[in-house]
Amino acid sequence: MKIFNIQLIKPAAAAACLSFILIFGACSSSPEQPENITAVKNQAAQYEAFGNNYFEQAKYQQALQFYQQGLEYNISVYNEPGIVKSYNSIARVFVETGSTDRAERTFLKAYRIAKDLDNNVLLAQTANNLGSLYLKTGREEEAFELFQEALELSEGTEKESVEESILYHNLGMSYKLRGNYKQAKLYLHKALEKNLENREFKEAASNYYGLASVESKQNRYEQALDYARSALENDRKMEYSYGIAKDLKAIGIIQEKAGNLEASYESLKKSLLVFGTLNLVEDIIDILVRLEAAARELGKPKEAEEYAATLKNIRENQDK
Amino acid sequence: MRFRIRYADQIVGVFVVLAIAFLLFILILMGSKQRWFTEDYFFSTTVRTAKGVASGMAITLSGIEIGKVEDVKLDENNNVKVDFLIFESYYDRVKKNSVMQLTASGIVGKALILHPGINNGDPIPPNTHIPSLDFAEGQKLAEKGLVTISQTHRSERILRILEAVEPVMENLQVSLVTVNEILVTLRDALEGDESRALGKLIKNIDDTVVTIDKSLSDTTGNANTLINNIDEVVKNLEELTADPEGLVPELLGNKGSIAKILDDDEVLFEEIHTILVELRKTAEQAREFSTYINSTQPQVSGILEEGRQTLDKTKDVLEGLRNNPLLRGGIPEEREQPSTFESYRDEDF
Repeated sequence: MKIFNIQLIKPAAAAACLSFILIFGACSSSPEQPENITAVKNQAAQYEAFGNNYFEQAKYQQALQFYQQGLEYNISVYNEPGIVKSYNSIARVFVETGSTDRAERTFLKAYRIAKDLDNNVLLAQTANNLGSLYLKTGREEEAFELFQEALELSEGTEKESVEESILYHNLGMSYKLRGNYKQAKLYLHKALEKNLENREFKEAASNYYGLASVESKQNRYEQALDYARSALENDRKMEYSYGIAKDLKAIGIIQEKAGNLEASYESLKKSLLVFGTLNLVEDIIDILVRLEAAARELGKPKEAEEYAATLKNIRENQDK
Repeated sequence: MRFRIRYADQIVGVFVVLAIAFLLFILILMGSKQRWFTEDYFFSTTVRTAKGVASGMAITLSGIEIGKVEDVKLDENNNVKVDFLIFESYYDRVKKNSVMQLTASGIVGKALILHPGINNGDPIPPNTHIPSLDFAEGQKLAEKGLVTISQTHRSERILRILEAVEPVMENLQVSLVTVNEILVTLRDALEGDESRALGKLIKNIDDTVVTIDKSLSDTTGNANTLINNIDEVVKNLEELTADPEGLVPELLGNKGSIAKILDDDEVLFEEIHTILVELRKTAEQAREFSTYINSTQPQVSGILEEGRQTLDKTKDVLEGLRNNPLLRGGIPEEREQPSTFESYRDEDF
């Protein structure tokens, strides 16, 4: 059967021409000229996004480079909201790399600019980040005040509820450090509910992680393990390597507290593998210390020696 | 990717309607070409062999296709029954007393030909059996002159065969002449006739062997001479180094040439110093270049990252174009800078 026939080509060509005319006729000829030039700001935003990608992979040096580049672009056009966000990002890298003093100074710079701008959203974000730093450095009272301030500032803003849920979470963690576990769980559950509703699985993982820590503090290890496993599940869903490593470590710590040394040992080994891929030296050292102790306790002297040797090697390299 | 599409529903609707209309149009065109809308009339005939007969084979009349073979099968007498159809436009040619003929077409092909009966009556009804010239029934009709059998196809076939045979014969003749020439040449060469290429080749090989033999004896003589010369050079060198006032002490001694070169009012030292200064400058430039490269590292990283993301975006846009050809609006004017804001995870368990 002949399908391609010269007599059919003419109508097919005519139909193709008609289609092209319809397609191009439907499209607008050229976009309208924008009122503002935003190339530099967009470039800064893009660098910030690149930086965030690296930050999530715990590649802090690369993230810092992009954040600093973004900051330069924002300063060059004096884009104040952008500057505040860039400072926040840079300070978070300082937090993760242990430069807490520099982190605090940078957060405070961002806070002052946000205050001058009278921008509640930026103020809330900065207060939250600064509060997280204070929590990490044991300044719970200041952290608690900042989280409360951030929550008040964010009320009535048009920002997404994910930011509100982050504040609930941090407030919950703040209550936990103050020993008020009931309030801590209340806020963590509030945050979790919102995050699950908005399909913010990475944040939900943080909430589960927080709940696991509260339950563990109250010696309710079964509950704590359930929450830690849920955190792991959600972090895996989001392929968030740093979160996965921390979840595995959390499971190891809880199992150890619950007296399940073998299970704890296995989970810590898995955690070491993930931290190893991220090349996070401080975390690797911490896990190796735990693993060495666990191996000795489990009667595995050979493995304990191996961990000790690795630890020594890493520390020597650090000194160099 | 999100795109803004103007009058999306309407445009999609128009396209769907147009596509359906176009499809119908194509189907109708194809159908009319394939005669889906015309009626065919079925007949059968019987031939002695099915060799060269197959479903889809054309039924011809005066060289024009007027129908197709539908089915080929054996009948109860082990003859071949051929079912065929005649197109509506040629049905009126199938008169009473028509016969079929299976004949050779070209050198290896076959053709099934309809020979219409000679009368002005109506065409025979469909599903009638039409006799073939392979059997007595059809042959009798032809002998009685009730059907016109054209002999043209037969004479044409013979002519075509003869035309095909002629170039073959010519080629065969040329080949025979060539073979004969080769045989004569081979015989001359084997007999040593130097006017032939093979004879020349053998003579050349003989000459070459003689030349190689001569060259080898000359080379041996030259090598012996060379070895004698080297022996003399070694002897001279031994004498030179053994003499306390010879050339070597003259070169290396306090008043030797090398000492004289070094005792040159620091000209050589100055030159070395200049070279070192130049080297230091080059190193400084290299260091500056390295600093510059380090300072541009974020930009370079940015460009690379941008390149990667551009490729990703291009892929998305292409995908979007493929799915949504009617784009409007495009990229938003200002991109919001993402905030770095997340929940705190402490390790206090």
